[in-house]
Amino acid sequence: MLFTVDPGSPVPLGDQIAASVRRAIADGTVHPGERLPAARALADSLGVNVHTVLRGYQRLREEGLIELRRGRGAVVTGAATSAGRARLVEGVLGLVGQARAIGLSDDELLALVRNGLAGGG
Amino acid sequence: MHHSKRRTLVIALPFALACAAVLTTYAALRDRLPDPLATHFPASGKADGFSGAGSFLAVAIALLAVQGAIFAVLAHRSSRGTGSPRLMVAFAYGVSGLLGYAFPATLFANADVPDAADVRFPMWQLAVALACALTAGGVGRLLAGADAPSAAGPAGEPHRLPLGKGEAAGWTRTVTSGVLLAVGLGLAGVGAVLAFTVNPGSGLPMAVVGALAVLLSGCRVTVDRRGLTVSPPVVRLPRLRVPLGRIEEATSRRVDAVGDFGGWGYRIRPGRRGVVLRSGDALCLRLSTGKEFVVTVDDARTAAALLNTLVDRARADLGGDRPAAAG
Repeated sequence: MLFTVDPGSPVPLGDQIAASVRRAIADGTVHPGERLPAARALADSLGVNVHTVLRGYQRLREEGLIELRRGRGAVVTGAATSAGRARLVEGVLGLVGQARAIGLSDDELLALVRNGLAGGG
Repeated sequence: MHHSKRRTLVIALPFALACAAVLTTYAALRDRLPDPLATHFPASGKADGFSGAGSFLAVAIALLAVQGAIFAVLAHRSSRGTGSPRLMVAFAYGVSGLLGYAFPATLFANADVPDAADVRFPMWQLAVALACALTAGGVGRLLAGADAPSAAGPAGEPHRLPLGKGEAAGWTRTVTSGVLLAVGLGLAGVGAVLAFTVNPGSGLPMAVVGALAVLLSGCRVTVDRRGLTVSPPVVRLPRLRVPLGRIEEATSRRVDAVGDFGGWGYRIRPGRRGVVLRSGDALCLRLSTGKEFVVTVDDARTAAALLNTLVDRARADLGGDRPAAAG
């Protein structure tokens, strides 16, 4: 599993770490049930604050991509759809980025998504 | 193939000789032996364990035959690759030398003693047995011939990972050894059963060894700005680290645990060492000392590419800070 963080980028470091994990899940480098490195170990590896890593892991938990278990640490959720879900979240983030780039408001983007859900069937 | 057959025969020979020694000794002495034989002696030398001649012979031959077979298989597989069986051949000769003395010596100790309880097998016998083992080991070493120069398998190409100037990167993966895990669980299980049913003394050491094997059957491999780190999967220590400064170049290639390294675990061969937990994809480091360090792990190609990039960066940093070239 490869992690890259660019302190010069406007994207928060925690989000960058989450993006690295998301990519690894999406392309099958990491399998469901596999354990992620311990937050402290990853923080030392990359030279970032351990809370930065924890923020990234929390985000992934909210997206339903990993589970944080007492004693076991961060584990990729065992669902067979994990890779697909990771790609979907990447798609969502890409969508948000595109919308912001053309100046769309959050409500306008949500309206487009609702249209798509209603029409697509 | 000729080379492989010779080595296999060389390594099986002492076991065959030891079997022959046991059988001819028995054949010569059988009329002069008590029934049952005295076969176990603690430090005092006074017999405390007895078995029939048949079981004694069966155990002796079986032990020698099984060990001979295992060594033969290892020798056959190792000479197909590179490896250094010279130590293994020496060890095989040593073991068979020890048993080839100890079993017949036990029979001789029993000869002409009407009551097995009076048989003595004093401690100096152990010294003689060890001397036999060492001599035999030396013979084995000579017979094994010179080690084949470590012709490494086709080395992979050194790749690099595109990394921006300020970017930090890390790569990490876990790897498990099915063999060590299975053996460890087996030993731990058998040890636990023995400890409970027979007595703790006989089962506990085996259970402990089994538990250790299980704990060391997996590890986490990490590549980052500090170099290559191999550590247990859960805790931080003990860990093995190769700093960037000691690495010349990293590549990846397929390795065979038995063929290239003679087995699993932390392996030492002439010119190369490694943490070999399974055959397959492996990260191969060429160190500044000229030796090779290998870690079996999936996706070694990415790990190698990152390591090369980080080594380049470390060299560039050093070059920039100090005007004189590093000695």
